[in-house]
Amino acid sequence: MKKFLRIVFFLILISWVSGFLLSLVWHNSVDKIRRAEKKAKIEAVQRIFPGCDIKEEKVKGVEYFVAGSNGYAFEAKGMGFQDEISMVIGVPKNFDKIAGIVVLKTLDTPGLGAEVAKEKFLRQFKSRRPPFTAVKSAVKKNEISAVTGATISSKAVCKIINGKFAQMKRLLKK
Amino acid sequence: MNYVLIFIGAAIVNNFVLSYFLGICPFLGVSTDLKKAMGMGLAVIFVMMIAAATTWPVYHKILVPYKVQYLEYVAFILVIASSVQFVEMFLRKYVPPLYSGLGIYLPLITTNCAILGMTLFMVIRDYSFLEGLVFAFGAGSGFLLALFIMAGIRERLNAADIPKPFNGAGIALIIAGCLALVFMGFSGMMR
Amino acid sequence: MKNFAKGLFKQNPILYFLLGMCPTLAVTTNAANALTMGLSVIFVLFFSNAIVSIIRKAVPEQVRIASFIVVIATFVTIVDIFLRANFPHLSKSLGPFIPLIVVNCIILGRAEAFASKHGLWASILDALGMGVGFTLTLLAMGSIREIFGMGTIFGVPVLPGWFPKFLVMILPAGAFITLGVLVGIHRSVLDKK
Repeated sequence: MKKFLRIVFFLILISWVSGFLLSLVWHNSVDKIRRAEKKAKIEAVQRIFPGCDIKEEKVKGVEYFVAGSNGYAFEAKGMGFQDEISMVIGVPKNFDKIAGIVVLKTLDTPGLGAEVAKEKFLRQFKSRRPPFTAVKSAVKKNEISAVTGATISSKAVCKIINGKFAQMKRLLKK
Repeated sequence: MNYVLIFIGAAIVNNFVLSYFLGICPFLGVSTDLKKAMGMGLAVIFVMMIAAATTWPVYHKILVPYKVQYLEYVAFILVIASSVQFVEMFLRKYVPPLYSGLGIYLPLITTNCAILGMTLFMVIRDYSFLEGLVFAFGAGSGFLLALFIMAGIRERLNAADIPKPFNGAGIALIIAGCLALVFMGFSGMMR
Repeated sequence: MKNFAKGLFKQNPILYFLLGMCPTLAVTTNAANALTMGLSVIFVLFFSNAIVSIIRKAVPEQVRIASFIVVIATFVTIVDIFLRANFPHLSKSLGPFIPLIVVNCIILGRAEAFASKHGLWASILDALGMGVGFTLTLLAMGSIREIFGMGTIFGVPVLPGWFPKFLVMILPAGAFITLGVLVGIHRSVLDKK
């Protein structure tokens, strides 16, 4: 019995010390993490709308950014081939096209799926109007050429953009 | 339908061993004969299910409500390690035949990265409890599949003439590479 | 000194013990990721070996592994928080592989096989040697795969444009094959000695 108590005591002690240490570290860095996340988003918005004043706003609990008088930008997330893809989408105020897209994060296969984060793929969306569909080689108006060997990731990106664009258009367009 | 997709996704398309590289150590270690591979694979499926069933409530009912998600790794590994230990004791006492089959692999599995990896993916992808269980079952089955194929190939390899330095781990890794290429062919199955 | 040097080549944790394969294969798609992973592992290994060596006499035998894992998981979480706060970009591209250091067999393996039986200094030296050996191997893998797969190293182009890029090198298959070849070379060098 004494041995058993010693084991339990030791485990509780070690977990307590670990929990204490971690909460200390966490509370010291949580602000910095939030700031870093925000900075990454704002930098992405600035790449879409260079030289604009960027303000953060909320509508019905959904976060978005206002870039001066040029347009809106918002973060969109969704499932890619292996993991979540997150990106920032910029649109002009009348929602008639896409102003630009910056991919914040993708963990899809480097060299294939991860190519959707590259300018070569993303510039296809620029100045065009959703909904998009990804096909092997684009011919029609709403078609986007998928990255070779990464049809699934490309389709996922289109789907995320279409969904978020429609949602924000409903919320913001007057 | 969704459950089928999650299962196939975890078992074949994004096979844990061949595309996430999780659980490579046991994959190389016990893939030398088919019988061991089978035992290990079944034990992994079993532990995967237990891990998913225990870590899901811990994360969603304890860590999230109290806003201490940063304790995730410590909590998960503790829960997994202790439930495995518990299962091992239970099996030894009440189901000795099963214990003699799976028991020796159980302690090894605690430190199998596939288990912790699976629970982390489950949380990141925000699966519901049932989806999490299906995901765990799929991941375990995928592990069994990869291990079984590998063991089959390696039994044949014993008769092959391999350059001496590559004998063992070297050739096993190169074969795993070829298998990974083969499994890439499955990626078209999704969506 | 012997405790330090053995991990570098002769008993290299990856090539000789075949430990810690998951990160070795998964994060070595380019040299920068490989280096970050290596440094994180050195950090965790250093502190876990030190702490385990200090508490080794107080730990009850039955819960040895569980206690070691808690120590390791604590330091891994610290690394994770640190990377997210200071290098958000790297943290994103390594994704779930930072938390997976918890179950990296190198760290538990060293805690169990070395630190729980040796004093503080020997354990620290062992941790540094193993960590550096691990990092060097990762860096070699990352560089080889990045050079052949993308024609760059640390993002700087090094190969002439006419040289074909083998995409397979940065796919999972390339990771297995590169490591297999490295293990073979390591073995043949050791055999000659």
